[in-house]
Amino acid sequence: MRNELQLEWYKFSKQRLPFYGFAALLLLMIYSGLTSRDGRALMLSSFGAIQWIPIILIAIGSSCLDMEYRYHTVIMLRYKSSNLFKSYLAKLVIVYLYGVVLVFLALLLTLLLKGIFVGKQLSWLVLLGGRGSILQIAVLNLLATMIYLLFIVTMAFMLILIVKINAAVIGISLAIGFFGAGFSEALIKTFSSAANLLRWNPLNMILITQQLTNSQYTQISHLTNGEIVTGVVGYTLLFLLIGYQLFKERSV
Amino acid sequence: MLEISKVNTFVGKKEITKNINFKISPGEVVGLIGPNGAGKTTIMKTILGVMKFTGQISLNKMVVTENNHQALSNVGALIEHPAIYPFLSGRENLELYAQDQQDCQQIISLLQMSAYIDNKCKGYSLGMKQKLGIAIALLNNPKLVILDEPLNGLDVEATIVVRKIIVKYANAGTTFLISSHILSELQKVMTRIILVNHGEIIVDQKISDFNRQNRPQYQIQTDNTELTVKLLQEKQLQFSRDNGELIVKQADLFAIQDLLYQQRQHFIKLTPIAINFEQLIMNELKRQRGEDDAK
Repeated sequence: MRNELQLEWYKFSKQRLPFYGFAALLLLMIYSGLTSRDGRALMLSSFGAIQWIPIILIAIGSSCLDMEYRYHTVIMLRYKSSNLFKSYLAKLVIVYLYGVVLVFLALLLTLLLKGIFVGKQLSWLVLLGGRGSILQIAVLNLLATMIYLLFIVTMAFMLILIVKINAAVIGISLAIGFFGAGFSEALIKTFSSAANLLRWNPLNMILITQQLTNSQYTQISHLTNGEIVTGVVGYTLLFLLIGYQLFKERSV
Repeated sequence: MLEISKVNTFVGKKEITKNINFKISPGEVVGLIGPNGAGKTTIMKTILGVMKFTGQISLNKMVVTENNHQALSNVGALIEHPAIYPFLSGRENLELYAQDQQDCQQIISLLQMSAYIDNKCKGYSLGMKQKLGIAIALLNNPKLVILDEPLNGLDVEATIVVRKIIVKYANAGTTFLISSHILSELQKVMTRIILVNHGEIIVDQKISDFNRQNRPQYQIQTDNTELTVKLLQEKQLQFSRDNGELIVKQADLFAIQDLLYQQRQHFIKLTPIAINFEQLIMNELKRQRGEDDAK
């Protein structure tokens, strides 16, 4: 596994893609700062980073796998590999770790951008009811995003193996990112008699990024914190297995 | 070295190759020849364990399956397109797979790539990429090298270099399985021919045997055509008539001369009709199509 990780890290680090991801995050966080007047919401969501990072990671994750097909290197990956699952997993791990770096970067940028867009009128230490300070909640939201990224990376890999077109995967991910939670909420409301089943739909898992620090979201998701974490981990494993099977089966 | 037994390859439920059987010994240079869509690349990919197949493939007595590629550790391959990351330099691409830096440098020198090996591959020409793809296939002293259309995009100089390298490696015991549509080049290096059509092997012979079986034809004219026809029929030699001339196929020149001389036949004309390698392949394919049509 170590060799596979080294190989994937080498390929990943030599591309410009990670730097584009950093730049996109910075620009999108600045965009959030420029377009929103709600300082508290900006700080709690790390200037929208909890929403932007999954979208960036889907784009980067799907590109990373797609390039192997575009550059015809997938055949080397397939036949040179003594264990194909390890190769697939190594790629996932590297993209996920990049997501974790994005989360830390988002935290640093939030501290910086707060000074520019919110100023001193709102302190990081202001307490929000019994939930803790803004800083604590913002950090917890980012940690929840880290859990959600597991779901996102495995989904991105699975989607690119199904759809095979990177632009389509990015389009789907944008739709999921912006409308997924709303769609899920509407679905559960419309078919309330089947709410017990529908609350486990994958789009509902997006709410993990905010629910862990705001219990009001349980009314939207209809899942307890434990259930939503279980749901995210469960879907991660499912997407991992489906994605690997597709990777193994796809003709090269 | 490489043993393929009763291999059928599938894409989905469609059978692409049927009952493929062959063995290759160390140092052989096998030319895998056939028209487009015959199944050459599929056979190569199947050996690499990246296609669904039934039957058995073993390399040095180790079995290759879709999930077990242990046996492929000593195999180098270039299939369809060079597998190259354009954001890396040529050297970095080689280093991704190289176990030994010295080996890497040696291959760079052999293929005469030193001038551009440290440039990013996105700026490479088709021929440069192709040479890099061949270099990757030759890394780590492989026991078996599989090259699918290796001469694509190569100029004359590079073609000669690659040909010399194949001969050098084969002499040192490396086995090659090569497909190419440039038959004249393939003919210069291969020791054995496997002709494939419609996913089946139709010819599998040493190149010397293949050439012997496909001897040149002779155009003959004697002072007594009818007697000559009778003599040829008696000796069961294949021939056809072309006006007053006779075209004798797959015969030995001396056998024809002896036969007619003994019967006091005088030659008016005895001309060999040269058949090049490409024509032989075409004849073989036509012959097979004829058999298929007859079926």
